[in-house]
Amino acid sequence: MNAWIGGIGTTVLLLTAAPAGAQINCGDTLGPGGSFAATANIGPCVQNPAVRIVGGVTVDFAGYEVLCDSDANDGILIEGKSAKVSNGSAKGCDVGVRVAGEGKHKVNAMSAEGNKSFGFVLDSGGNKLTYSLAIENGFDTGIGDGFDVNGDKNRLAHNWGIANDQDGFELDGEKCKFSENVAVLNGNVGIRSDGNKGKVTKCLAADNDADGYVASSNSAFTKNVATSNIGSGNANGFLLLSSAPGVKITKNVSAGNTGDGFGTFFTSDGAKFTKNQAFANGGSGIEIPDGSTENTIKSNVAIGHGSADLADMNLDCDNNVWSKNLFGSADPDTCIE
Amino acid sequence: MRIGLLARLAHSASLLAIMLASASAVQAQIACGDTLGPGGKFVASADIGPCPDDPALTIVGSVKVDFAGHEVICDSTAKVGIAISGKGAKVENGGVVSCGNAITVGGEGKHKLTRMVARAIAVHGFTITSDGNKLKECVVAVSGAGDGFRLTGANKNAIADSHASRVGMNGVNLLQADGNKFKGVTSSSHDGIGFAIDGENNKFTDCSATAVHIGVRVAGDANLFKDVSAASCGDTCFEILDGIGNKLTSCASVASDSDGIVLRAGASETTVNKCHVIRSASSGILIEDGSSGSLVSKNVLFHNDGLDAEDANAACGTTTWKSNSFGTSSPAAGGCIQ
Repeated sequence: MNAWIGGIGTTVLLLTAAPAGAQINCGDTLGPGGSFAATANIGPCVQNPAVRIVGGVTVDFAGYEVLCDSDANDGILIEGKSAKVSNGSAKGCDVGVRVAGEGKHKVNAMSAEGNKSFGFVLDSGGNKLTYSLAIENGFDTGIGDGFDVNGDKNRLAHNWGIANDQDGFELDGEKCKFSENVAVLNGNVGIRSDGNKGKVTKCLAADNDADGYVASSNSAFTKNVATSNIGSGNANGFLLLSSAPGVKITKNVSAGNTGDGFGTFFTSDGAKFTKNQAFANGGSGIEIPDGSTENTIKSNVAIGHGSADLADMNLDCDNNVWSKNLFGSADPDTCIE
Repeated sequence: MRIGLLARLAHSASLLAIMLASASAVQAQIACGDTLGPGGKFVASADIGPCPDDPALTIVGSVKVDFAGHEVICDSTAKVGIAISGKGAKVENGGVVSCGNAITVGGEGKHKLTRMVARAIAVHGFTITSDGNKLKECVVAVSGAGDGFRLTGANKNAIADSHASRVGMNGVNLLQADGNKFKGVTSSSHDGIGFAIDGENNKFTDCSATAVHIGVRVAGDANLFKDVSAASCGDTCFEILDGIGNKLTSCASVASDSDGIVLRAGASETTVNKCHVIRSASSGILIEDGSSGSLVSKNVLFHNDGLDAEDANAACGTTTWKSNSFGTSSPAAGGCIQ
């Protein structure tokens, strides 16, 4: 028994009876309180979830796996507040790792692989998720993402979403910060930001089957790279899907994608594209479709595209403002500068 | 007094003529087969080609050429797009398309290339054979059989914020090239090596290789990789073939189909520090028998299908493993791997 537990109520003592180094078993609830370290793989587990963690508690899986015996069950469920969970993986479950409760959990170096729907689901807010991997999740469901972020004010940094059935990362929560994450070879979009006031910074989206980045919210994308997104011949580097007034696309690079470097959907208005670079994309460098207006496109560079470097399908560019851009070709060349 | 005035007027007229000549050069359209420089400034006003010439365009430094977003087009993929020679050319804001080798950077070096793009080419994107060049914000996209950035016997070059996408061979290929610096370079979506290094004292910072066969392969001494990541590698993500004193710090190997980081028998005194190695199909870090004198410390090694940490030398030989986080190892934890 850890000495520091003394003085805590009996119920808590029972819940934290497994000391650091004791094996974690299927169906265990770890915490609140205490420190746990796995000594072997856990499962296959019939319980749903396979392991429940209730913060504040520290759980080190020490490289061991939590295995579900049915992909109808969740693997690791984190509840309560301020749990620290690290170095484990969840396989063969419905959701690999679900981060819920009151939030503010810290999840580091975790892996979710081969789960039926999602690798990681963050339902609560204020969590910090770092150096974790979601790979090959979402098979056969048509809904499965690597990371699915529903709660607000979550921070994700240095994570990898690789070869998931749908999106590498989907951000639905508001005011989330998202930096230096990598999305590669996912079946749909690399990184999707649907939550308001999200910040996506210094990420890499490469080789995804659809667009590198998609936004349908008031988000800020800064210093990200989208490259080699190939899709079925029409994957864009950055795409704004629906009305997102105020979305800021700044200092990003889009190169070698099969579709447009940067683009908006016809219902998307009011975006600001500033100091971005579009190189050698299969479509246009930046394309604004008919119906998308009130956009500002300023000080961008677009060179070497299959279509016009810069294109605006609206008559006389409507209320889109193009200024100080560097490009080789424009359609039309009357209102694009 | 009068003579002095006339002389001054004549001198002013000469200056004016020179200024007019320069202005004329700036405005002139660049044409297929042109040689630009040495000297002068040129700005393209339209795409150039398709050109039957080989190379399509020759640039001899010192000279400044601004392509203003326009491209040089070859009429055959057997030809070079832009050949840069001399010293100190500044070339910017352009592209090369449908050529064999897109841009060759030779001569005496110290050229500056900014925002140059090579696409739909048959062989290499940028072939650099001289020293002291600076490439910034350059891109190679879609090549048939060659490398993105190929440095042959080229030293002390700096390549920053550049990208090799869907090339035929290696994204970055250094052949007997020393002292080069790469920062913010990506190499993605090809069946070759993300960064292939045959050389010494090269430095890579904030670079990444994704969806490649091998992420990084090193042959040579004292190369540094800091904040370099390799993900979705068809073979190993980092392979140190040979050489003394190579250093990997704060790197990441994710989803390798073989070992995450491997030090082959010919590699010695390698430092692997503060790296994350996750989900390798074989070992996380493998030190082969015969590899010696390395320091492997403060790494996080988990979820690898083989062993997280493996040293094939008896009792780890002269390699020091310390302060690593891992699940499985050989020799077992508590021994020489810590």
